[in-house]
Amino acid sequence: MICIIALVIFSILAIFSASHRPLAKEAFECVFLRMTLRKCRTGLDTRLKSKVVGKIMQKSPKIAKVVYKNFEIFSWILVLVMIGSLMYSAYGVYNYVSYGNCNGPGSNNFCIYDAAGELKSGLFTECNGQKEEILYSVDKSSKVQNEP
Amino acid sequence: MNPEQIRKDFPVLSKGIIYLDNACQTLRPIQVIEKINEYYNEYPACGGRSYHKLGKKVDEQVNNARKILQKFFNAKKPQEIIFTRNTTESINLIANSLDLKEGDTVLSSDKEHNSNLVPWQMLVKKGIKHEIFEFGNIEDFKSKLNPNVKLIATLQTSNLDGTSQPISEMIKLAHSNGSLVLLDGAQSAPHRAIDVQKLDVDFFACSGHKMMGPSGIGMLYGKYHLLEQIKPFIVGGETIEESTYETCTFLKPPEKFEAGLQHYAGIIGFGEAIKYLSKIGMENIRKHEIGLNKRLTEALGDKVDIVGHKEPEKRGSIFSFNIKGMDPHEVAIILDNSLDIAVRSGAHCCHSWFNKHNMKGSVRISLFAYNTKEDIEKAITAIENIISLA
Ligand SMILES: Cc1ncc(COP(=O)(O)O)c(C=O)c1O
Repeated sequence: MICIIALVIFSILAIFSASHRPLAKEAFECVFLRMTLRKCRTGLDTRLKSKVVGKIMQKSPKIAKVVYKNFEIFSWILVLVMIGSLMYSAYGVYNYVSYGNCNGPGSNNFCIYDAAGELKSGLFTECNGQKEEILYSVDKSSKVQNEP
Repeated sequence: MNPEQIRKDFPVLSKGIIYLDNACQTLRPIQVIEKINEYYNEYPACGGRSYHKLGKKVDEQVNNARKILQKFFNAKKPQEIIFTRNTTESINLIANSLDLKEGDTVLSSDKEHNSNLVPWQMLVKKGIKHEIFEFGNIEDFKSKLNPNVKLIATLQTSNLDGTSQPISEMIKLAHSNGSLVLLDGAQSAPHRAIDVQKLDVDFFACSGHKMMGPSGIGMLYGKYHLLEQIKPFIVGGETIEESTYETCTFLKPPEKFEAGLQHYAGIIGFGEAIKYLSKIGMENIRKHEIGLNKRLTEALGDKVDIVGHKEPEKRGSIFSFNIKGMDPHEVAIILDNSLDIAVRSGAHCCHSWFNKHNMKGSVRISLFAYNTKEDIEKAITAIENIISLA
């Protein structure tokens, strides 16, 4: 499972850094083998597990033991979290492309995909059942200062 | 011997690393690094072929290094010391230079490093037999000797578990059988005094990088009359006295075997490393390593599976082990990431032995003069923590 996370992370890093490309390739090989119900031959999963456990052991041998014993479960959780956040991000992109805001039609809430970073009309939060405006727009004055 | 004092000469140790992978290669003291720099800074020229001052200086330094090695190994003359790239090249030199014929047999132990196994396997294709005896088993060794055995190519000390063979006795038996002996001294030369004359060994190979010297430099000792008889391995410039378009006359040993421009910085640095080791004293190094190995064995002997003899005295500088239920690489990576402890894991280039014993490999701690009791206590704690993971 850890190889799936490695594949995603190393693939992104590989775009910028040549030294991560062999690792991304190795992770791909490992994921491919696992998907075809074979064992990861490259040992990447063992290496990553040992590296993580080693780093934790530095701080706490007890936590390291829990992680070591349940590494596959932790890996599954991380993969599920990663898939969940990817889906959520994809949904946001879809909304942004379709409605101009990542939060869906009719929403004026802050959207991270908005390159200008500007709020359409403000950020609201619910407080005691009442809508309360807590932050408004970007600091226009600092924006002016930053412009050449 | 004071390891704390010795450590001050090793810049890399100030970074807090615990270096326990000395069988692979040792660290270099500042004296060796400075000597290498001296070549590049002060006389970075060709030796042997240039009559200018810089060239002369290179010759002088190379000859000096050769003499240092001659003295260290107690060879009869400096010309018996040939500089190679490493132990592997030294062994290949003999494998390719000795005039072995179809039907001749080369004997090796079952614990050889691939460097002293594969060169002989290559000869099998030419009709030369390669036979195996059990490491350290004199009876088995004797039983394999016969008039066809022309060469014993074996190691003195194993890189896998640190155990040594009764080599003097084996050399005597080999000689009375009319066989020559090539000793792979890669793991013995850094940890004990070697007297090639006393051993009466015919050829002896070792590497500079396992003896505090630079990487890419090694040595082959050979009895002079044998070196004169055997043909050179790699030929070309520097090996030749005279040539026409059809023929050539080779120089005498050692030049006959040192083809092309040499690794001068490496040779000079190797000499300096040997000087450094001599100053500490090989017997002191040996005692110190056994002391540390005793502590490792006492603390971990019952908790891990030791590869090789149980008694630390017989394993010298090496503590090779496995933790039940764990992959050796896993252990090595955790040691590296938790406490910056560098060890080696895997088959240590002895796949044949591990395959024979149905084992995947081992974790290998290998010690040297600069390792301290504190290093060992940290390693023990880290290994105990790892054992608790399994
Ligand atoms: C026993 C033994 N022989 C030969 C070698 C090969 O040495 P090198 O790589 O320096 O040629 C080694 C290296 O670890 C070794 O331990």
